[in-house]
Amino acid sequence: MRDAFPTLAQRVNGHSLVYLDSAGTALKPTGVLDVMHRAYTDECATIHRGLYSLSTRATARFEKAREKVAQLLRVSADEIIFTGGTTESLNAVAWGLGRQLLQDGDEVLVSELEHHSNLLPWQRLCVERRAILRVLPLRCDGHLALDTLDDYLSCRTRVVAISHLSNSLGSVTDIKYVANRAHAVGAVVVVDGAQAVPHMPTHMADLGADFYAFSGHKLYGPFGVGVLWGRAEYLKAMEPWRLGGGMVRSVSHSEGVIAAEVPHRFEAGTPNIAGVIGLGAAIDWLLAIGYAPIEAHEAELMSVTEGALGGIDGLSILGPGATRKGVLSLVMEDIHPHDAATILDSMGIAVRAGHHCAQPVMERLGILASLRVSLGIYNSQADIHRLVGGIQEIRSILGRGR
Amino acid sequence: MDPRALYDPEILAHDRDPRCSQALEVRTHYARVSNPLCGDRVDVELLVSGEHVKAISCQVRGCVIARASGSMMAERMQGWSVAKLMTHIGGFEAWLSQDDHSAHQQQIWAALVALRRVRSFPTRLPCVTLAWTGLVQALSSPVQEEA
Repeated sequence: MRDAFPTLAQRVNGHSLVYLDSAGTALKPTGVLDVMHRAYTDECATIHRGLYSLSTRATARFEKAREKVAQLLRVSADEIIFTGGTTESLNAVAWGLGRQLLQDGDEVLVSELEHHSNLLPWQRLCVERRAILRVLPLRCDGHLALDTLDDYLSCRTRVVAISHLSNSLGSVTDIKYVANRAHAVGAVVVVDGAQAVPHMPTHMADLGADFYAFSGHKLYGPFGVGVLWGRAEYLKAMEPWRLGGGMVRSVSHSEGVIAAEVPHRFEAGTPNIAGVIGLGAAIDWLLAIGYAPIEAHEAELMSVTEGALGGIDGLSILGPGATRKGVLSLVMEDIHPHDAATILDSMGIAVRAGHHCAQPVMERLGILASLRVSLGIYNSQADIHRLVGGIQEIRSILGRGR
Repeated sequence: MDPRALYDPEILAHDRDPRCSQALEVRTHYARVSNPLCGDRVDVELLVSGEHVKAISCQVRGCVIARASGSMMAERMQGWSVAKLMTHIGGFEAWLSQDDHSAHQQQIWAALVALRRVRSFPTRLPCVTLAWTGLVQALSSPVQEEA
């Protein structure tokens, strides 16, 4: 599997690379890169415009990618909107639909686990609409306090914005339960699926949400492309958040803009064509492997990681224990995560240190930052042994004997 | 890239036992700065009397490099005149990251040469400069009620 990822062929600081930041971005397999290369060479043309062969082929590839996303989420392709990434997708819902839904005194519920991208757009919207932002709390065990969910919902709740899998702790939230309760009060459920999609099946019928957002680059695909899925009835009601070419039916100086049908009315301008086609290739590649072997491999690896790290004196693993997926955050007594990450990097081991764009989570856990280890399909037990060896050296390099 | 080149005994000694890290009983200037990437935070307090910075307190909640830099900065700059501080402080960052500097600069910053080890670890430059940003801000932030 390692061989499929050219990034892993290099040496970093004199060592073979151990890449443990797939929650930041997943590495890209050669097959995906080849498809993107072709999109920039043999099929380099704008879509939905040209009447020449190149453009026809590019258009077909682009729309085929939409079908692949639909296959991944098991929805209809005309409910799939291509965006620049999860952040744009979430902002799009907040702006395009949230503004319409919220009146004075209405409520938006977010969770304490959210990445800033599923918090800030709602925070701003609430200020603009004089609505109230409520926050479902995080328990010390790294799970949301779903048993209190009903206390945070009311007849004024218009939107529930929640992540499927936490990027900072690896906690999985039961979206089906959240959607069920939220729908009981008539709220729209918007899910940040950026971290979930690479690790577990995300079939919309099983989740029951109304919107689902994810990014290509965390799914072994390219940067700069993302997806917003929405229920057809909500997409029809949603305002396009940007206007321009490709999303109009007719334009004149006197009549202004008449938007085309969903999904094209949300895709003004030249999209990231190679990115979308690359995302399609990444989905093909992932589905050919299948989620079952991915989940089995990552669960085994996570268990090895937890077992090995759990034995290190002064090291605490944060969050949800055996139910975590893909992401493991830790803190080391008396050692700052940035120092740890610098030392690991010198050994060719790439991990993330910081607050992972989830400062409220860190605050809740009473820490400034954590060291985050996140897994991808290419990781092996050898990677984890290298990580553990590296972590064991940190204390001696920093002159903190135990 | 040997991490021991960065975490050398002098840096580690400052981290373990930071100088000038007690809050001042009397302060005339104060600033707090943070690194938004990691949440590290530095509080800089000054006691300026007449032309001189009589005392500096630099309290760092952060990594080894930020703590060592704050400690070395406070130890080095304490007692300088405000004018001298204002003249030279802007040159610190250039001295830190560049290879060519005048003999005069070398002389001014000689005591801090261990911090130049961060050049091989450029992602950690902001850890060094955080305390210095705090010092610059403190100089322009008089605490009127306590003066």
